[in-house]
Amino acid sequence: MPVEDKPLDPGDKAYRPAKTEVLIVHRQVRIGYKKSYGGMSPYIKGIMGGGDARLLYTVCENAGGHDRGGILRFQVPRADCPECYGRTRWEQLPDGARFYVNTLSTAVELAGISFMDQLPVTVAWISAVLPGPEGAELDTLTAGMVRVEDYTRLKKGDELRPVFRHSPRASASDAMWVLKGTPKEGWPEGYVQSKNYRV
Amino acid sequence: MAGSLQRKVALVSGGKVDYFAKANPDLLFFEMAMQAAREAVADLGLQPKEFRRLIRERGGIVITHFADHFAGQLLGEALTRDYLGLNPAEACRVIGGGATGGLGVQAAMEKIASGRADIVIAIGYEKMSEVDTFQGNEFIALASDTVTDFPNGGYYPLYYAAMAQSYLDTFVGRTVSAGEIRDAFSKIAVMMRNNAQFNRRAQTSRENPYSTASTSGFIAVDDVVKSGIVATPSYRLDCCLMTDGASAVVLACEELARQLTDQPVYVTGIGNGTDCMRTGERPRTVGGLVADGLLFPHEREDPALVEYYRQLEYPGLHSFRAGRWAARKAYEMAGIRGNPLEYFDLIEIHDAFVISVVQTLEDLGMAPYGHACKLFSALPLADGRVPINPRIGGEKGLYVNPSGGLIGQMHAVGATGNTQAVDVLWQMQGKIKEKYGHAETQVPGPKTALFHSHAGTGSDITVTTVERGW
Repeated sequence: MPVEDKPLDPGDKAYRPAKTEVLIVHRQVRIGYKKSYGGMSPYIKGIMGGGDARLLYTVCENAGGHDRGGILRFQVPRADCPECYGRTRWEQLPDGARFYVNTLSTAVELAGISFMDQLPVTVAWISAVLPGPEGAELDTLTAGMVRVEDYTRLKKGDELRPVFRHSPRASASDAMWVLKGTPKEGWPEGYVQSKNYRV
Repeated sequence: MAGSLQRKVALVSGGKVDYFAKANPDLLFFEMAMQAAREAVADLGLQPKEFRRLIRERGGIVITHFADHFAGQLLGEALTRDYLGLNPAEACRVIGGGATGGLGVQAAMEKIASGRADIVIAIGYEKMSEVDTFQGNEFIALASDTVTDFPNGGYYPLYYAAMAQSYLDTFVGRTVSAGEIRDAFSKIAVMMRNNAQFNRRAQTSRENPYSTASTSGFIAVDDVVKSGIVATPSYRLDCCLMTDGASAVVLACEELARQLTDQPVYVTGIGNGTDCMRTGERPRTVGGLVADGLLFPHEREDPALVEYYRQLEYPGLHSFRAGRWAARKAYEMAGIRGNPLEYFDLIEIHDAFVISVVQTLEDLGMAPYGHACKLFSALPLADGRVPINPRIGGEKGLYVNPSGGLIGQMHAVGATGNTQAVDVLWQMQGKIKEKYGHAETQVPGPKTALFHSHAGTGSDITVTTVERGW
């Protein structure tokens, strides 16, 4: 881990000497990681597809092993069921799936250092409902960034559609969300519609 | 639920840094720990040599700090022990996000209750100023899922603001109005900040030599909504501090406690609870509170309340199931069956954001879900300020965070839960004027109290109940 110390200006506002005149240095630490997505890799690969991107979820049908019975459907997908400890099955969310804002917030004036140049940043916790007469809702919500013209008008229950980064970065942010029906010029820069999910 | 303390455990003394600070470049982290430990030992009337012998021969050490990357130092607890001359001894580090300090104090209790030690010093510290605020915010956000949640705007105030929005979506028009909620939020922010003005050690105290003019002094409700929106619907003054600081508390078995102090404060119940780190994975079960047996005894005796809870989606993103689980365990251990709002005289809770105060009082069973805002919106205003250290919930109510809490006093993450234990101890020992230079926030003769700490967006929560032992 490379470490580099440089003297810091004592006039810095954080410098308030008391009894001892303290020495402060500026330290830069650079760390590189080689990260694996492990069993979640199919999900990340799916959203890396740009115009061919897919949203995957996983299913566990071992109802008898679940606390409340019934089938469990997970987005964010997981390779293993947290209740019966069995392996889950991968499925693709179809074009007919519907996505709704469950709750949301917008960072307006402050954010973490990686997002400071993107303000305002809206994040929604999104529910997904499968098509068909039963309209099963996935059991978990997924968090995703939403691009809208006026964040103050976005609310619980609004219907969203996914768009995908044209040049993916192998990050969960390769998928973003817009209001259903948003014209192309309203999509986040560098994001495209997947043929699998019409906006 | 199972659980009991095998031996009585007492809090006997506490200490803190002289001043909590946004940035204290004058002290290394183990020097901050020394300030806190020195005070805790001195208050026992022991020479450090005697204290260290007790720790070595009959005791143990628990040291807590949250994030190694803030100080850029792994195994900082070893350096801390070295600096305090506490080798060789039984020791460990305990960590659990924002609940780190609280978990550490509970670990110390368990060491004594199990008979493994007769005396334990729990020390918590965090030095958060050595990275800038935005980098620090990102470090804290690493306590979310870094695969899925963090890349999507990773920022803790936003996560909490989303929970506040969920609270609004769930309860506005059902139990409370949007205006009442905002009124309550602003009054909570003012209460915490202004309580801290009577605590000279508090980061926002104008008497603290490390404070800055723009972040210290009294505030009024108008200041809160003028402070700028951090993340909708939360304003800057709705949020807690980031702090350099340390805290220490000494605990002992009953026999030793009686030798060390005339004012032991005995632990009556401890509990901690958990929930999913990804808030989107928490259950959203209609009637979940009832179906999962999470009602307190006093709630079960109220048929209208039970019926209301049968219709309520729980916990969703609006409430902390972990807090309710922790409280349920602690209350059961302590034999508390009545309304805890009336049972306790004083609580120090983890007010990371104003919404947390409302959520936590409901999780603790002190108000029905969706109703705790009314406890605060009812506070009177004079010149835009609520009274200093007001009793919450009327004549039978209690005092909430006289210290100023995380919004007014400090949030040096690894120290915070420990600091809350010290605050409760000093309140019960009647030491507030001695320790803080002012008596305005001294609770009159508290006999029972609770302290609470909280990690992440509610993934780990501790609740500890205590009573005066003299």
